[in-house]
Amino acid sequence: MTESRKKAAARILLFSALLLFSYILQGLILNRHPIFGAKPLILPFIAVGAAVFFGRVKGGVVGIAAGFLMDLAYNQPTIMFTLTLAFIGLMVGYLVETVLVKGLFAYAVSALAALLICFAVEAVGYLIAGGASASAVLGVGLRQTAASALFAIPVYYIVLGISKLV
Amino acid sequence: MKDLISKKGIIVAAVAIVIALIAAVTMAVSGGNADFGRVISEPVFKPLRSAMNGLVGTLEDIYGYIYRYDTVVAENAQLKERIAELERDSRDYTEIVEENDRLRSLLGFAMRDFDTLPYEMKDVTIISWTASNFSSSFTINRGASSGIEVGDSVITAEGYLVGVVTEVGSTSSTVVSIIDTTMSVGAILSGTDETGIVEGDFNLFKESRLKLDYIDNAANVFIGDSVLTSGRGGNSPAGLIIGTVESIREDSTGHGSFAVVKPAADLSSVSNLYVITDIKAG
Repeated sequence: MTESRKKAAARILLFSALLLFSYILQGLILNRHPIFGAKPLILPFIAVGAAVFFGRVKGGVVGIAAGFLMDLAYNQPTIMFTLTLAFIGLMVGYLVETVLVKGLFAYAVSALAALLICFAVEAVGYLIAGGASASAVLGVGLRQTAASALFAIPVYYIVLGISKLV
Repeated sequence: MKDLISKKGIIVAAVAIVIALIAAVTMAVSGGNADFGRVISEPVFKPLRSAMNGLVGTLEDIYGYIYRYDTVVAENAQLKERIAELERDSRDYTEIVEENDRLRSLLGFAMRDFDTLPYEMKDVTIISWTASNFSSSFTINRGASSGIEVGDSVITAEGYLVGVVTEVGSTSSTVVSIIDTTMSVGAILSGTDETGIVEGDFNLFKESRLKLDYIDNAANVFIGDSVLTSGRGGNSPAGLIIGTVESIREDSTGHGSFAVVKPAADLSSVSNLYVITDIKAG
């Protein structure tokens, strides 16, 4: 096995472990123990981190896997977040390759954007068809974003560590 | 922009779209059965969910034992008082049982005595709750192989309605709880026989409450009234206990009103449930 293949295999293994751990944390533990009254999102940060450190293609691939797991955690068909996180991975990777400088700032801005996109994707249906008031939906969104933000920096350093290892 | 639509980028986007399309098509074709994502992940994720559910439950028990000792002692004292009260009440036991049986037969259900229930049921366990902040659903450990179908009602041992099965895999199913905004079930108020529709409402969602709307005559609705399923609108059989009227509120137009219903089932603590799979013949 060549050195580059070994690195690719190690990368896949490490990201698979990170995705699985995040799925367990987000979908099976913190869904029962909300923070600030909200269940946090963690999986989108992995797609963003992969895109920032490994580019748009790997960001997109990790985005598909993260989105698939997020749809499973949400008890819904593998459509909404599979598409959304793949799109986020591709876009963040593209922006880091063209406009943003790879690093914490690019990650933080992209992570916040990812959280807001995930919120918007989910909330729009409730606002349009569900008859929910904007204040109620925004309140949930704010709590969700605040709870999720706690996990942004730990995920950043884990993905940074992976990028240095492989 | 030219860089964005590189060959590999297009392939990744195409893969994501194909996965979503297959999921949508399999959902549409199977008529409510689990999409392909659930089907391919079920063998791995169902044991994982069950194991994590058990582990988290055990850790919660340990935490409770260590950090809530004082609470447990106080609860123990309360329970001793309660036992003394119950012993006093036991004098009336026979009379209450007879009255209870009579009332239950009048209502057409007898929830505490499963053998006399007019339903075929399967006992199920919740293996995971949704991670969404916008919806309320959970996964149970039985699916099509146990005879569970989309639309089946899920109840507690006390006969309280908890939710309705919305998606069925071979060995697990998704249940949308009664407070979810997609839920809607025909309801009847015990005593007044007023009918209406109980539905999930996003503005009441965080309070774990339901909305009783479209009532024939709102003036006949009183706080404390029991709300039961009417058997109309949806697959839920008549007579299941939904909850009690907690308050009456004006709607957003200011011209009408609706009742806020507190669910009888405590959704934060339910674990072992029953799925009504059929109505017994005769």
